[in-house]
Amino acid sequence: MKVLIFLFLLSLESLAQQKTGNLTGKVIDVETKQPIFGVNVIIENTFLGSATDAKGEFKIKNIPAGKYILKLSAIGYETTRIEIEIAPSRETNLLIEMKPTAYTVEPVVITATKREQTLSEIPISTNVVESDLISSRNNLQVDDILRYVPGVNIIQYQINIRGSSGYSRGTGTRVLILFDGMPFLTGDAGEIIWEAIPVWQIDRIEVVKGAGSALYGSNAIGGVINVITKETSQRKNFRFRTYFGMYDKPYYAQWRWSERDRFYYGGFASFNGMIGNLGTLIHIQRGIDEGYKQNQNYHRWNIFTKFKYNFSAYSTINFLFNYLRQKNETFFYWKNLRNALRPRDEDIGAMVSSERFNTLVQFKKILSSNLFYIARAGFFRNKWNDNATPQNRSTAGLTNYEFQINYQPNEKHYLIFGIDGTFNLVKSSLFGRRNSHSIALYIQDEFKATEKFTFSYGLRNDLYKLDTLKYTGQINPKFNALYRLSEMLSLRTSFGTGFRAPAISEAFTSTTAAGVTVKPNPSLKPERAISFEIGSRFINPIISADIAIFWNHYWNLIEPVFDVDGKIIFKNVTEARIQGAEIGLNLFPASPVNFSLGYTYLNPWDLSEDAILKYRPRHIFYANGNLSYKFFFIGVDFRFISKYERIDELLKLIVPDAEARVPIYVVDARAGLNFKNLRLFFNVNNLLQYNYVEIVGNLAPIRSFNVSVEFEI
Amino acid sequence: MRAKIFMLIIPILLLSCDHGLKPPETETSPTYEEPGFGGTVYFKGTWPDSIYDLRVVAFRKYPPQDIINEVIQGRAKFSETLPKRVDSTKYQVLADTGKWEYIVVALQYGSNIFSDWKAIGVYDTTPEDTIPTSIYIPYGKFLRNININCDFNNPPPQPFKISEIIGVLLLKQNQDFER
Repeated sequence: MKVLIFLFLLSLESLAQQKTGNLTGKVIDVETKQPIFGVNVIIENTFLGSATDAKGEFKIKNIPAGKYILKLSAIGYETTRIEIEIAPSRETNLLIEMKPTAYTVEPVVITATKREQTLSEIPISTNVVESDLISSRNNLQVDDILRYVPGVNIIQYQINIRGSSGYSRGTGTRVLILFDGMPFLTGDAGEIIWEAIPVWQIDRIEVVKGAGSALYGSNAIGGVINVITKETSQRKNFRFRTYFGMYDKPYYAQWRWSERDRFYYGGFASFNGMIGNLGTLIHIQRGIDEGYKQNQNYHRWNIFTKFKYNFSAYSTINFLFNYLRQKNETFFYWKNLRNALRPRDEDIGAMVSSERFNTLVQFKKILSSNLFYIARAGFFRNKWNDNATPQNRSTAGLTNYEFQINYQPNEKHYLIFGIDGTFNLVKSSLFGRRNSHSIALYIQDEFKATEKFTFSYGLRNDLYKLDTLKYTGQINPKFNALYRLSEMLSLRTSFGTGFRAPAISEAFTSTTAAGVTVKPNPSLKPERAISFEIGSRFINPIISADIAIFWNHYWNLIEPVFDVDGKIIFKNVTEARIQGAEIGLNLFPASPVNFSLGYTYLNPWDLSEDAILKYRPRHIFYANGNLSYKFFFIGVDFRFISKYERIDELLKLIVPDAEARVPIYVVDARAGLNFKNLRLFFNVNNLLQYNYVEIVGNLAPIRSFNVSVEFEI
Repeated sequence: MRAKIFMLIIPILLLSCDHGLKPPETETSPTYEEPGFGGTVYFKGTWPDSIYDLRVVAFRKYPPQDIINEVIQGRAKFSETLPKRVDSTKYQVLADTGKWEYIVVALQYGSNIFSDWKAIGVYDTTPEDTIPTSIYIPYGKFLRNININCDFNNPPPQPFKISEIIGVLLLKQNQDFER
């Protein structure tokens, strides 16, 4: 196998031998004539590119002779395109001027098609959340950030994209989360550990909606979220941030359970810069939350490191290590609505200790102007134990690997194909000793039929095995089309399929808790889905709008049900259809002011029971406004989620006052000062002190105030 | 522009009057029951000659931790004395809301209330393992059909010194009664 791979790489190398020349240049500001640092310089329709250094200079080597379009982009500047000609064995030198702009530059997205494209080129509904907004909101976890993305709602820690997941206490998510491109779900319960992601080192979060298994395999049944961390920097940079917050008193005196105020506080220190030739990012973070509910505090440490080494201009290796250590109390359900911030008596003292880390090694090599490959491998270890009697504990080690080739044979086609796989080992008091593994092949071609019309189609074949279960295969196709009516307006359609292999926890749990017994079901089948949408996007410097109509059909959805013997078992019971429409609007009427709105209508129907699906709202609405003047800024977020019309019958038996729920109306507000090296933030979350639940028996966070200070050297 | 701001402000002002969920006026609901559980105890096998007492006893934790304190603090609950030499009998235990991990039918086979006890049946819906089945009593609910099988010829594991515990439990009850 190793010999074959070596021969394959050798043949790729030989493809790369052509007559070439070099390009050097300097980029300056048209008004100040000062050099611009960090400009992305890309030769269009090739994989060749570079970025300017502190002197504004760049160099691109080994460019095949010919005529090209050079594209330059940087935050705060208008994107510039110029024609160039590269002569063989010669160096072409350029001086390029860029014009500053007050308008926001269109974000780059990599998740939708596994390659970098601007938002207007993406043929599927996609949202991007960028780091500035995360910083000014002082969000402490990624799930808090996603609560304001159109079409997304979070039910406690479980994420829904257009109603995909419902609620199953985190087990077996129907949204795939990627951490710098690698799957980030635990090996045992297949859940997302939000608190393990260092929010203040996020560059952007990409949210791709609809079934995406044709590129990403299992779990991408409702969509894919890719959390992309900041790049290592050429310039040395130290950042420090500290925050201090306080929960307000509960609105009703009956709910007051603590004699004193409850606080949360923490901060981080980070270094980003070159150590010798090694790009280095080191981040250490501490967080403590005393909890607004009884028995809900946490103490956590996060360490995040990223290293980048360039062997040459076209060959790079990245190494990432991320660690979380946490002790947290567990609030399962309230005692009753009269004691909404107190847990059940027997849950007082319940606690979980956990230790998680993930690593990723990624090697990228550009072999020629039209060919590069990426090889990566990652490992995610998840270890936790509680203090129940008998004690529950679990250790899972999940290994991922991927080899991907990008090949652009001509201007009309862009091919991506690859192989990926997983190997998972679990040792748990709840599930026993289990293992699973998978392997998949995928291919995607993007065909630019005309300047205006682009198709993208692909296929992925997954083969996976879950412990004692038989091998199962899944073939998932996709098709997208994008038609640009003008520079600003485009139409799109997309079709894709998805599947989700059962999590080990769903197939093999054997336990008794809270008065109910859960028994294993080793004959579980994967869930399947088909997604279809049509949409349109309009982007200009003052307004951007996106409208979509979607239709998703799900089969074999896995849900916990009572079996004939009165025990709970996970079964493939539900066929469902979710139809709806979504509109997103961003307004930039003047440079210091911007607004965004998002509205999603859902018709989530359980075809098996001819009733509305559990835990799905019909309406989701978000609004966001920001105003800045010189160094002062203010902002406000509002979200509305209509009341879930249906919940689990099982939870009604277990949780007192389980039917107590209301529509969700939440307002968060912020203000701050933004100096060159110092930023001050003041945030009020749940400004109107609105009391609501996302999941039955769990009052969502009450009003809190926090102040944070960030200093950068 | 003014109209847009107005449209945004109006719902927020309206919302500010409403604070969502609120605690109920009274703690009890119309369907409130005295919390607890009950069901039927089924007996098989040969009854022993000497039976001084027979009861259903519920414990919060399994295996019990600091069980004497649990008993002294009144956190373990038990039924009335069950009838003897019958095939089955109904029982009920009034117990607080929450989880009860160990429900046992205890037999006093000798005259010493502190030592002559043993378990003859355990509530266990998963006989393939040795862990008893716990129950959860919701707020204001009485659980029914918590049925227990007792086999005098094949008693369940005796995981702790049940005799001493039940002895302390009954003694405490008698003291409370005398007060």
